[in-house]
Amino acid sequence: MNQWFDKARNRKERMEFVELWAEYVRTHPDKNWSKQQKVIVDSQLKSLITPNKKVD
Amino acid sequence: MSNHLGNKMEFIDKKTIKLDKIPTLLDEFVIDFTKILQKHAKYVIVSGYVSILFGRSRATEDIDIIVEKMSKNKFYNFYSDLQKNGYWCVNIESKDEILRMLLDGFAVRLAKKRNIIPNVEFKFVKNSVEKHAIKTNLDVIMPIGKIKISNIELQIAYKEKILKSDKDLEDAKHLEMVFKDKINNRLLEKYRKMLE
Repeated sequence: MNQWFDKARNRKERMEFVELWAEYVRTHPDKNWSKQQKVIVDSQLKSLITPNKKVD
Repeated sequence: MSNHLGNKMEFIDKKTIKLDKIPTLLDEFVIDFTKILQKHAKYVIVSGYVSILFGRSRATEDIDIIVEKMSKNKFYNFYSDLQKNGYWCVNIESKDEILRMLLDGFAVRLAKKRNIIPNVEFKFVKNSVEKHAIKTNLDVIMPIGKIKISNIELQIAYKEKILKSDKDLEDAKHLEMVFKDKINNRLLEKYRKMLE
């Protein structure tokens, strides 16, 4: 274990959140979870997109 | 299935899932691309986007699409159609070279002109698992259009047994939990053993 970062614990906590969110998706209407997902996905994508040089 | 708040994803038959989601930018990109592709070849979407489609709280730079092999003429028609609709190949310039790369088993990246991401990592089918993924695909019907994805059991097993990164294991867990009342557990076990 690194003194500053416990990778195994972080992995376990991440997986716990994945399970919590998946259960939410499973039990709620699509419009409900997808409205929340859209905020995350669109903002991550927008932050990644950089205009390329002009291509013709 | 629906209640006063709206519909929940459901299999409307063995091969079709109805998904009433509010589309992300990624969903819109995928629908736009596959509307062109479906006119020219059989395809299946695999890997990360399948988990994201069904709610994973992350984005991706690329959408993995496996396509049945195309003849030279068929591919040129498809590529011309793509160009007319504002797409370009990010990593290779000439269409001859793109086709050669594909036939040699490599993937090419296709994106909207002037963009690098998001892109489609596009490749021809090259092994029995990929052939099986095309053959046993599911249709997903969304309000903005229809797409073809790999069956869920194969996606879970492939991510667990072949890809295995933290991200892939999280994707697999997400799919397994979201579809826990709907997946064929016997089939999932069969795929897990096959891919071990």
